[in-house]
Amino acid sequence: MLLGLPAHLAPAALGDSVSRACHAIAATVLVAAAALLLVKQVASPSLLLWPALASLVPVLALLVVVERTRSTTAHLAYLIVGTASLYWYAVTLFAQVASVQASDAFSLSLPKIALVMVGSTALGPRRGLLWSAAGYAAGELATQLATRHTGASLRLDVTTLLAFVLVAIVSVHAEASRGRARRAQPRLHRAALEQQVQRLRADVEGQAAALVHDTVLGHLAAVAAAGPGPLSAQAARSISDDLEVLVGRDWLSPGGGTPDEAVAAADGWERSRLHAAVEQARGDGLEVAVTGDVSSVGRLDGATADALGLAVAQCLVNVGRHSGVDRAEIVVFGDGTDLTVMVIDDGVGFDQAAVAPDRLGLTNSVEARLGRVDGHVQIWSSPGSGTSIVLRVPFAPASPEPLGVGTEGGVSA
Amino acid sequence: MTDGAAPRTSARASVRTPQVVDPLGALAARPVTLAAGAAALLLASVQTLSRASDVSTPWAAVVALLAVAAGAVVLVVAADPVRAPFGAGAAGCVAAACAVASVLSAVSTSGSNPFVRDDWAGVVSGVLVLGLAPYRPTREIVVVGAAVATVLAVVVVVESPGFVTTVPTATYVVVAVTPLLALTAASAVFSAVYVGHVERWLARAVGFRRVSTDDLRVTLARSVQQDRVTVLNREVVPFFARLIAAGSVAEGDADEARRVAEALRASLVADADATWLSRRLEAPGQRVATEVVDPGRVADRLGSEHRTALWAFFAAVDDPSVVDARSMRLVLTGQEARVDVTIELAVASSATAARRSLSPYLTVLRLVSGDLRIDRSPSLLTLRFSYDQH
Repeated sequence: MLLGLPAHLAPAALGDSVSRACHAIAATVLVAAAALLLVKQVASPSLLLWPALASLVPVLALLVVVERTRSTTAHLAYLIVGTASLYWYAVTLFAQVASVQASDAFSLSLPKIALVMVGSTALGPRRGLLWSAAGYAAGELATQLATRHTGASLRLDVTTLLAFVLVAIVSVHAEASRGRARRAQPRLHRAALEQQVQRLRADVEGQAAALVHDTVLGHLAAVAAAGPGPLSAQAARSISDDLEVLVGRDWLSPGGGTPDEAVAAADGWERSRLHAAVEQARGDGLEVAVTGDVSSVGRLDGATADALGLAVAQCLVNVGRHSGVDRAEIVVFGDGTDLTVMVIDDGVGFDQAAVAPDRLGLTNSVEARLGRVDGHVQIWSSPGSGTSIVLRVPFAPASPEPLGVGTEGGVSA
Repeated sequence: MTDGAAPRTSARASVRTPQVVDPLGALAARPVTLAAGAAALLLASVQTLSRASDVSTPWAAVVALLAVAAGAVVLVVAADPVRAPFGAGAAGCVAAACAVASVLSAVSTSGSNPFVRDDWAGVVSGVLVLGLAPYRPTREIVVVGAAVATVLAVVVVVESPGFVTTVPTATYVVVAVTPLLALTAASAVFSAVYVGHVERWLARAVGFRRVSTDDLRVTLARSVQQDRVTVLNREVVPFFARLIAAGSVAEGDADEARRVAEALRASLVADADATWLSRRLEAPGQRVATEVVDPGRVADRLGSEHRTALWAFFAAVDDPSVVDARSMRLVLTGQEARVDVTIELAVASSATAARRSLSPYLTVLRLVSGDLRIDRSPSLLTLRFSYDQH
């Protein structure tokens, strides 16, 4: 069983949830602003309020785009169009509605709050605060210009300021919430895995105990009961057969796997380039914990195993150079078709969007290398929240021909 | 001194709240919850004082503020990690407090309230509803927000003849409920989006962990077999080898066979008797001296979530950078389908500090058990919880 989000994914999930919650506020206040205008228009048909109402439409439309795309362009468009619309909206209200004559009027706060609630383009919450600050500034700018042009009075809009403070508190907290609580997360995930392994091991041990009970104890009891005398040839054969089974054969593996296969698989790991990569990284001073089903590595064909080992070596080099921590965790899973290796560190992380596409390490050494053996790579990281790299390679390459990855010795004609 | 609410039998709510799917996330959100409670009370107090001249019925103003304080206290207390999960009842109390505050704040200024926009009930209720976001499911947050908004709307309609601005009643209603509705929407969306993120991650992680257990089994089987062979090679194999070579059972061999069988049987029984808990805690490398009292071997009846939570707790106890534990004693007793667990953790410094540094693990234990109770004496932290198979 797994409990909760891993520590390095939490800020991204939190940032996204906060962003979308901001959009919900923005949508609500824009609809409320429209409702107020409609009520006013119905009550006073002589007023010319439709320009204000029309100015809310593009803001709402762009809010939908922002929510869907989360792109920088959409955010910028939302703020720019929102500022212009707000100016138009404010001028209309100042000119038409007698009760709205100051920049802190309720119906003016609503679209200003919608600008503050612009949300964030980034996965982490910190950038959201910058966008909100920009939205707050833009809203104040638009209403100040409108007051100047219409002669309305300028006042501090406490409501909008409080809305901004709300976003600031939540964003700053979300950024800082990687404290003690989150540090417990890896331990929780590891506990779930270790417990699963223990359960499986206990199961296997139960099987082993049953077999020992049925064979060895049976013979011992027979010997004890029979007392001194010659050992019948049949009893001797039965004893030596059972001992041979117990000591010499792989009697626990399901499906009748031979011990040779198990030995080969375990040796496959010891001799693999992946193992060498781990040893190399350890030699370089990195603490590398390896968990999971390492014997699966032995099932890979040579070229794939080498590519995987070299790719993981590069990932570990990156941890050593860039993460700022001296520990990494490697988890190996094998299933029917693929081998998955996760390289996890709890270091400084990086902004995936900001990493230049030509950065040699990840692109060339990891992605391209695995691509050549039909594998692929997925990276999760954001600044301040560690990095997880998941490398997946097939046990049997899709193409039967050699893939141009030279094997030692080559093939001579 | 005792922390924790009365035991509850239903261990986990079936609803998927951010707190249930990501207990540590909810624990991390605690400062924001405290801030929401404090902000609600502060806003209500400041607004009431700044409009003291409008207050015509002082007792109503005081009771309205008390209602806000009660709502804030319920929010903060129910969000306490060792009381997790935050229940629907607590959310209902927060809603009731908001409704009472809405009505009484209007009563306090009845007949002398010129503007609806500086009434605080909507914003304050909204802040409290926002405080529910990390703990309650979307639908419930919407229901709470809508219920309080309805009360607020009725109050404003009743008040509307007294307002000085001449606008339609509908305008007053929109102005009064917008802050509450906006904050309710934010709270509900946060809850839904966050739960979605966690559940998607879990689904993906489970996909990655589609570890063929068969593969893992091969590795484990090999290691288990190695252990067995080592044991057999010590006495059993030489003994039988001697018998087969001699072709006969000599004087004394029968006694030898009985002795070897006894020893082997004893070790098999000990292995079979070992529960997951004793295997976990009696493994070599354990730093903290641990005693497990589990005569009925009921540890194996604990569910996998309990095991995971305990497993992580033990790892934390054994880590000197987390807590300076000296010794740990576990007592497990079973009654029918129920298992009661008591853990006594002796610490070198203070139990209060230990409780704080272990709080993430205690939260998880509290969430999976539903009835964790924590007692503290100066240097002993005692945890009690139960597991019900039903």
